[in-house]
Amino acid sequence: MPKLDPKKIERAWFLPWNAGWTRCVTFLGGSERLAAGNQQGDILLWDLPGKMPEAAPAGAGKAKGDDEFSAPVRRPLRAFRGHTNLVSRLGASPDGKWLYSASWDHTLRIWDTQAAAEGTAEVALFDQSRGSQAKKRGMSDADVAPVQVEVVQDSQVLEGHREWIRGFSMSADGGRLLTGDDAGIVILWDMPAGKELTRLETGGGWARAVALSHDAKLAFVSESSDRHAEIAGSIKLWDLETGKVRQDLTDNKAMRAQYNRVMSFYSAAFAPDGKRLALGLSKVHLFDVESGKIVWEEEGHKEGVMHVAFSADGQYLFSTGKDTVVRVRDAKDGKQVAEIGAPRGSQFKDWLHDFALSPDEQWLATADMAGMAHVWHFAS
Amino acid sequence: MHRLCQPGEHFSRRAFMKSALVAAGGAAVANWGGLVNSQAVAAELQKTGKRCIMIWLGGGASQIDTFDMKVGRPNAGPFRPIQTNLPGLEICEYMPNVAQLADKLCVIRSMSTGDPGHISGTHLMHCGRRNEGIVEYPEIGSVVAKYLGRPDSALPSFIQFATGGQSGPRAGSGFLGPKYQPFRMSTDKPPAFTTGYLKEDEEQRRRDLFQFAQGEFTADRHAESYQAYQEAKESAWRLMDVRDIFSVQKEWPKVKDLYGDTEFGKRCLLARRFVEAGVPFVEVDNAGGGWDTHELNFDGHKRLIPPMDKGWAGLLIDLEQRGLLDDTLVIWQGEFGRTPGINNRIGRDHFARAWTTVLAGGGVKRGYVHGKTDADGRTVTEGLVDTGNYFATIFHALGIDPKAHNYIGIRPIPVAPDHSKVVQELLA
Repeated sequence: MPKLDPKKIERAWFLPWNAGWTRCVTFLGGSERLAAGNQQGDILLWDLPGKMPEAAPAGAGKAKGDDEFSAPVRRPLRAFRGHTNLVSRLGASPDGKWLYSASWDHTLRIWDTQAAAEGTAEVALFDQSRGSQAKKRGMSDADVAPVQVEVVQDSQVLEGHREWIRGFSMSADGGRLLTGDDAGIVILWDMPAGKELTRLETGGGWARAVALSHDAKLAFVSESSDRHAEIAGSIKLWDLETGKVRQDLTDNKAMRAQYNRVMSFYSAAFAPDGKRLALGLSKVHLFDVESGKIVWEEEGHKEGVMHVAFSADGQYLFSTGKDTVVRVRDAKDGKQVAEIGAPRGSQFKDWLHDFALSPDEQWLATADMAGMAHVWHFAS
Repeated sequence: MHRLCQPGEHFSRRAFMKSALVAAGGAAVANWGGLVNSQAVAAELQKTGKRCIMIWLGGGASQIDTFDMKVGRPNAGPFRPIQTNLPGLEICEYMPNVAQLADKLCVIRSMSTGDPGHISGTHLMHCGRRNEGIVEYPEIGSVVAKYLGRPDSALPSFIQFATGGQSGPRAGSGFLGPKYQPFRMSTDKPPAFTTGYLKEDEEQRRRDLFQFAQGEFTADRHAESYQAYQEAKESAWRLMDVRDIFSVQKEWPKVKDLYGDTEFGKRCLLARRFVEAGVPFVEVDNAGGGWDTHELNFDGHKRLIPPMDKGWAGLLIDLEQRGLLDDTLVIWQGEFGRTPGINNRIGRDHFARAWTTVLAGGGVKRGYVHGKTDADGRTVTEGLVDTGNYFATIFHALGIDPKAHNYIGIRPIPVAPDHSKVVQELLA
């Protein structure tokens, strides 16, 4: 597998989806299939060629700088329908057969990505405004027309949660999934069986940011709060074999100074070795798990870090958020080594909510609230 | 948005004495607010025992995420509706307590007030009028204090929990004069002056000494300011005599499950204690402007609605159980609603064209939903209620003639704006 070099990045594909905010993305198995979910509860699946486009699309050169039209459009093939509220996170089994989705409809769903379709549906890719823009950039009417996709129903609905599910983290082998909801229910699942293994007894705050160590033995749970909530926020490490709190990091002085009782983190991720933990809220923080001390913390997402994840070797920490770029940092010291995408320049622009690295770490996909996903390629 | 610091946040014993002195002095100024003209009317009204509690949702709560849900529409948002105990009325899933009291509510889904600014909207929804600058209009609490307040009461006639935040500053008593200024509190904790720094017997000796000295001093001196000072001092002492009203410490353990163990719950309990003790108007701030959710509207409302639901429902239940709800009008409102559209920060912005307020209790219809908005909630399609008519209706429900005049010099100013009409459908 070629070594990841985050500095050599190029825009590969543009995945428009005119149906509200695109909230989450995941690669399935390899780098040739991608799924994304949105706030209406829909999930789409795209096939990707697994290699860079041979030519830039017509009109790509008309742009000042780099934008979505610099990359060719890919059209979705399948829609996974069943959720009745926002799809917050997606994950997949290592072989890509099973897709896992978490939703604000309080359910987790398991989808057989190879299941026979149960019908077709029309999906709009461009709204009027972006369609006009696309045509000015050389696309035809046919290019911006809606497409027909196959519709697939869920294979299994997991109903162990009773509030919006936002916390979502998978083990390295894909066999365990940790999910958290706004009632503070945190569950460890055996996947793809969908069997509940452990349920943590938290304090009832919003378990918005959860992280599962790569060996699935340790869980991090941030129970969020804010100035109006009645439950003080907390950040704790849980031993999943005993189901008990192993370490309470809530009273970390540095974190208290910044967030007081508001531990309303959006995202968390363990490094592959389990010794470090990244958290995202107004900054990206890197914790030393053993000592509970902050190793470094960096700003850079306009006070809104929506997602963090380590590279497979733990060398890099990726983050994205309200400033619409993915930032790549050296995990040792937090120094930024790459910036992917361009800040849209205003607090009134759509955010990036999520990103996913392909298993071979040669591709990066981002979920853009503006109704699209983007696929990037790390040049070898 | 900036946070506006309210004077009530710094209220002290000394500050209270100062304002009481000004108020007493104001009472002696001839024709201030047309007092002479309407005192007889007020005296009659004071016997009715009508009261009003306003729950203020500073920043502007979203009607689409509370009482005017647009299920299935693209702008509906992620909250789901639940059925209330009023057939046909569904409200937000995070208001289960209020849902069980919907048969006591008068929901107005057709407010159209036209002012989407925090400061101007706060003025408008407190005074019933735009801030014209030339005329300092009083806010509703001051008007109610004037007409329904009892001069012999030890307690203020208008108590206002004003915690600042992103909503606008309050107008105060305006041209009605300092006598009707709100008595401002910023937390549920008793004001500092209620904790005497002298022992009770020492306080009494001091009081006796003051009365003796003041009596001697004013025996052959008759300036109004001496009298005003004495009245202010007496007023402060009377307030000290009823200071237990301000403390919820004893009652709270018994009712915290009813009101919800929150700051807002405590304020709602205090509001009930105040109206029970005869205070005609209490404004309870909810969340200090926190409803202004331009960003992450649904996270914000999801956090704010449950404690609001619990406290508001607890208040209505408590008032009902004590037989106070028939005479107490409970108003639920902010300065405006929020946009039907969801912006690209997952927020909703200011919206005053088609939004919702809720009344309950004294004088208004129970179990009634007034007005309609279109499929996406962008405009009122039926039963539009503007600011003037809204305030005229509230005053009428409280037994105050909306057309009654107060005066600035010889200029008559009606209680509700000129040409406003009472919305009869809202009345019991």
